Amino acid sequence: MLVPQLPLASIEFVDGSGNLAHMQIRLKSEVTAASALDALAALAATIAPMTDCAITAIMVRYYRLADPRTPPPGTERASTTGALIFDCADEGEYAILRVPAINSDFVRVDGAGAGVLLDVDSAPLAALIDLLVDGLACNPFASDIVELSAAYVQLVP
Amino acid sequence: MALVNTPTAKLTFDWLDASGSKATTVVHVPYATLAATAIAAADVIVAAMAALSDATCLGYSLAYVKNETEPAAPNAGSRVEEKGNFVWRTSNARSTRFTIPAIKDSLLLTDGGINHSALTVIALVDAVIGGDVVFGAADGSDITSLLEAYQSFRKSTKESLPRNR
Repeated sequence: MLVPQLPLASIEFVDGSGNLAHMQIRLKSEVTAASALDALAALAATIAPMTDCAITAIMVRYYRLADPRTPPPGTERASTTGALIFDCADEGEYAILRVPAINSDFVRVDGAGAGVLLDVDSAPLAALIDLLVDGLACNPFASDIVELSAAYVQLVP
Repeated sequence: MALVNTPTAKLTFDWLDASGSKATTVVHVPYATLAATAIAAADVIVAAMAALSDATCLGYSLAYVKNETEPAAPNAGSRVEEKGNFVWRTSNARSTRFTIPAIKDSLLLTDGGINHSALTVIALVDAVIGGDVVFGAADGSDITSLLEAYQSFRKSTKESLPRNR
């Protein structure tokens, strides 16, 4: 079960030698991200004249942690990932999602691409693909995910 | 200051495999997505990924970031190891703290304490506990007043030593 934690706000600083530091403060659980970012920006503006560092970023982060932790259900290594490559709405844009420790049940065992390509017709994999195509997901440049382009096993060190 | 948001909010899922190795999966959602909406979507996505993986999910985070596009230059000689500690009293009679790196010398008293009467310190107190209750302690209690403020120093790490040495 993934349990909500108190959100965390942080301000990033850089000093004269290029080193970074972060000031962190908890947020009340009911605060929206927009309100938190507004308050954090105001706090950063207040702190700026109190420090010889420069402020480089602010961040609001929400957490969910597994409690209790469950043991890994299989033995595949995390470095064996299922890489899903998606085309995005903007020309030439793409998105990547990697599922660590991809279970070998979802890897093709015959035909072209056996042992490398993922079986995108399997129900659990098709369900994940549908979630990403039909849901909120986008690439880092906010281009909406529209279609699966490729799905294969990739070893990530 | 010009704090500008990144194009997206970032969901980062943390995984643990049977060997004890860890991995992450990153999913982006548009920045304007409400946290509650993004978290609801994340709960569904993590369940779908878990059905495919031999690893167990340890949790996930949703981050909204704004970057300073025109950062001021840090003052020469400033070091993050020098801290201004601000300890706050909470509504349940406990305390919570945060530190401001490279606290300005002009805020310090001769004994290393921080001047509570300095205008910037008064403004900081107002930003933390004035107005709407936004910030809190690690146990969720309200922050009620500034308890202590003082300078301290942290040990440099090998990584934080000057490169030109």
